[in-house]
Amino acid sequence: MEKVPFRQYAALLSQYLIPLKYRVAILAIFMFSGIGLQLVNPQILRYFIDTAREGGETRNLIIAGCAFLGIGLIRQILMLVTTYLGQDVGWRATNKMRGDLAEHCLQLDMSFHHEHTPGEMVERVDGDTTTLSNFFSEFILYIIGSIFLLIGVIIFIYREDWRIGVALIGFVVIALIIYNLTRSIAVPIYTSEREGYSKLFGFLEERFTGIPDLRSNGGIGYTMHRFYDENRDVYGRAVKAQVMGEVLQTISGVMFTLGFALSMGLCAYLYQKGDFTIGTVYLVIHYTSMLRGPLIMISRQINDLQRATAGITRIEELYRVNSVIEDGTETLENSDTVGIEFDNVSFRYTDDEYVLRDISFNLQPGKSLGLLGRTGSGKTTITRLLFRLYDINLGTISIGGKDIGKITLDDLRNRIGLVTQDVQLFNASVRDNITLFNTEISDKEVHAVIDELGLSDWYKSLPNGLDTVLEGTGMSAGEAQLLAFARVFLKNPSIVILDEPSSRLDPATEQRIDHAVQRLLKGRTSIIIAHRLGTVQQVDEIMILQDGKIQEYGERNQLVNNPRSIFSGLLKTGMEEMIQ
Amino acid sequence: MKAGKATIQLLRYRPFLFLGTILFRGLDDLMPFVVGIIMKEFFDILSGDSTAGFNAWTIVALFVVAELGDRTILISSAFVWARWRYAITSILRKNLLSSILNMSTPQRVGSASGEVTNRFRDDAQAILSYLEQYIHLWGNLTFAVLAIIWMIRIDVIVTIITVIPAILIITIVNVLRRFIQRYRTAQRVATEQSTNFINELFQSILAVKVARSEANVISHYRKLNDSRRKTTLIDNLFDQVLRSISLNINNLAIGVVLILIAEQMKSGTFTVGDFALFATYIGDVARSGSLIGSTMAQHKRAEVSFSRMEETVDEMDVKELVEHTPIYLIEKQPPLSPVEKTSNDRLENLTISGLTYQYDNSTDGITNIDMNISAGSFTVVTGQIGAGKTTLLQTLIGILPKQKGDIFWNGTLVDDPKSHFIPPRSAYTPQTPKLFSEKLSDNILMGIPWNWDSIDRAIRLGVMEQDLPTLEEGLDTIVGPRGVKLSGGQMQRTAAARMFIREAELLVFDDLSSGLDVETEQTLWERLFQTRQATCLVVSHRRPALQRADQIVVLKEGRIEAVGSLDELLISSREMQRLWSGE
Repeated sequence: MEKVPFRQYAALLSQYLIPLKYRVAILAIFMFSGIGLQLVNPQILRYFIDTAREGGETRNLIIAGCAFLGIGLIRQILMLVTTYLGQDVGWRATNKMRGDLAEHCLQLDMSFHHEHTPGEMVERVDGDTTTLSNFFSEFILYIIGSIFLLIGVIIFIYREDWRIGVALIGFVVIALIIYNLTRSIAVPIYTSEREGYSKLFGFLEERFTGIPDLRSNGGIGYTMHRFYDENRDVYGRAVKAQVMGEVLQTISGVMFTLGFALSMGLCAYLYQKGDFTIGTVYLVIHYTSMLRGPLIMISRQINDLQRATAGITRIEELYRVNSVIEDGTETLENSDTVGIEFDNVSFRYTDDEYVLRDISFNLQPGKSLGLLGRTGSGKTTITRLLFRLYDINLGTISIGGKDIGKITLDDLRNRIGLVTQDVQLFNASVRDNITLFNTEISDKEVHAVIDELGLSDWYKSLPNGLDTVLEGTGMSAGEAQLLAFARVFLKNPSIVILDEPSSRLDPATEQRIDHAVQRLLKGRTSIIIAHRLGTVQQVDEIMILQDGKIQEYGERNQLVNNPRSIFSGLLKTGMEEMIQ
Repeated sequence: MKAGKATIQLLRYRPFLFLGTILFRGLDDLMPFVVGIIMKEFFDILSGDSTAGFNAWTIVALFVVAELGDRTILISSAFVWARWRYAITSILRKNLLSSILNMSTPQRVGSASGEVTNRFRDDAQAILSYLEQYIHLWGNLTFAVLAIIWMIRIDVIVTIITVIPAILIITIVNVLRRFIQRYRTAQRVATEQSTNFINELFQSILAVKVARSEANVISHYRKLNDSRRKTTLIDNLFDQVLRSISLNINNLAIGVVLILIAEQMKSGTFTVGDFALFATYIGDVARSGSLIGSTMAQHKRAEVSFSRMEETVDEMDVKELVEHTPIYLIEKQPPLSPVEKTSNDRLENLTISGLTYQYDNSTDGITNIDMNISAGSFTVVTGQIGAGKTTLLQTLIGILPKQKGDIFWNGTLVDDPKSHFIPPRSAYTPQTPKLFSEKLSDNILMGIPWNWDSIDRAIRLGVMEQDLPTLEEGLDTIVGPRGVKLSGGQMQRTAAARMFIREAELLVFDDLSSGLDVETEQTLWERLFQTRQATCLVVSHRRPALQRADQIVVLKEGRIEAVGSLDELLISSREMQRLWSGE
């Protein structure tokens, strides 16, 4: 794996810290005051030792002791404030990043989301960012703080004797070079550990959603078996990562030991030569011991930085994935109803076979089209293309006479409403589930839609009204479907797509909401995918798809009256079924 | 079981790795003691107060040797320590997973899968961190005892006065730990809300995209994260207060020492070497003392994590969470043994009596259901939306815990439906089947040994055969997370094949045909009736199913409205008439 250059860290830091500059400035003031006091304190020790050895005033010694104590107390408070502020900055920065990253991923194409489990995405948006939160808060606090402390200590030692100063500068420089070199060794090991964990948790998360499926088909043993395999895979990676961490610590420890021994030796020499008092020896040794903190800290932070690098690399990777769907620039004229036109449209998901071939049709504003065909014939794909969830390979799709590639996604998607058979509910309030977190929609509007859909009885059964939190259970598939209708009603789109809308509804309930659906379709252009003929009784046009090609397309009335049409044949099968 | 007992049980899980780690890390914890003596000797030699007769250079060499030795120990310990850590988190994960798979209310986990995954990650980690406290505790306490003895030998009064702050720290920590627990919970909840939401978000990506509500959901996510920041900062603040006191106690205590020894140092009874020894020890002794306190605080945190893991599964006790069971990190796991059908498994008669399940905060559910299903029969459960059809199936086979009523298999009472209604007795396809991101064949087989004939048969029964050539790699196709690479109908047919291949006595399927077109549905029913030996219990309102049923059970508002054949019911039951004419 390539080393992430410091430029990249710097870019990241400035991108997320500049908006927080005032907080960062206050943080810096507290931090530097703390460092200053830390450097002053050993001087008091030297004064104390030398004064005592020379038999100075006891009163002065006591004052020196008190000063030492007082500075210690002030430093403690500074330290607390600094840490708090540092974490605050870190959280603000990483929260911003979490949001940005989630936003980025959200606009990635469906093909991307088919490749990655939600569990994996959580790990990448939240897990990787959490590793970075250390990078933001502690990196600033500790790396920068440590560097300044290091420089301060060296300057103070240099003032005592230039030879020790130079020796320790050499030592610090070599230590830092070695730390920097070790950076690249550890990163792949940490990346591999993280990837292992995200696979393991992705595996678990996915299983949690399907326990009834697993258990009732005797899959518990198999699931445990797979878990052991996944878990063992991470084991090797985790052990390697921890040993690697210890190796890095050792490198810093050994470096420090050598530096400290060097300082002790030189002090002993200078003391015996008569250049140093015993107090100065103590001072220099104390300063040298103060190098340990920052050096270990830098080494540990490089350690964390390496973990963060793994995170940054993965985040960068994610940012590099771009939606191939380019946003359009034009908006549709504000006419209420718009027509849909497919002109020789062909489409394939990857480099496979075409899923749709030469699809052409022209649906006039306000008309409805019934789509029929076997599963996998391309019905669903047609509706997904209309949203530009995928870009077509050949041909053009137009809405209101305008190529959908030119229309902004905002305008395009706001004009189309979709009800699918699978309704995704959030573990959130009923209101948020209906408005999809759009806070601009008033409760009044939500109530109106609930009444219109005949959901009033259901609404009255909710303990906390719109604030009732939906928690997965207790809502039947049919009720969930009705909720999906509510979402579309609120959107008030010009085009409505019903994708197998009645598949989950028993006929009686279907009838109950039928008038609501009719009202939704009224005055709107619509495409209705259905498996049952009953569903397409009221549509204007019929299209039958087979293997991605139009098998039959025409006005419903004409097809019904044409005894040779496939549709009339289907109607007969349906009739036969009824007579049986 | 209490968290304390659970901790002990966990510590005993890999005793040799644990003791090995304690030994190595303990030796490392004694290092400051050696360093203190070396420093004292160094200054005493320079100031001429030494009696040991070493010279300064020997001392410097000793220092280097001791430190290098310590580093060797640390590197060796990493191998043992890492293995121990992973074993501990693994056993927690394994036991929790095992309980979850057997829990009576799996929907609760299914609807909060992100949150539950968090418990596998963060709570397991929190418990591990707590256990690690015990590794450091012993070495540190030994160090503290040795150091105090050496300090007392130099000056009793100064020692006593400086050791007291250590005791103070313990007190402070003890007072604060109560607060920690409270705020810890708030932080956990906030974190869960955030990760749960982002998880749901990626599950509902299509809904969000077509609704163009990206901006709205993201702003909601940002709000959740902001409250997560606030609670985390408060939680950490307490931790920081403790940490900063323990880090800074060194300086405060040295200040006190200076004031106390001013007179003695002047007179030469307290040497610079003695001061160096005190300065080296005080901070570490205080920290070692405070470790007892921080272990207590960590104990509170671990308690929270233990109980959160425990609460994931209602009927689980912490005891099961820390039970010593194999985790197969190194040793090979035994191969999966295929289930054999015994004569006891054969279904002759299934009777349900008074079966009841009511959802919380809702009038939905089923009440007092009586049913009789004879071997080889085909029973259809039908009714309006919300009538309780799915609930009936799920309660019978133990996906929902029955609240009242009895189930008899061949006349024998079934104690635990969830472990009874599994292959070879029963197999099930839910209304919205869930597949997993592995090979299509693995999704169907789920551990059953590969056998072409049975796969072929199951696929034909599920009417999957025309789909296979359209998939990139046929049966080897990785179906993507939750099976997204398959269409809705394909997922349903895969799930059907998964059920058929188990050759169970009783097939339970919920609205199997809902995602299928007319022709495919016809084929499916035809094939099923041609080859069917199994007893079937299905939810459907589709005519082909109703027409073929031996028995139709009409549900209304959770109760049985009518039972009988289609012809009978069309005459006698108004509800049946309504359902039938609706299409």
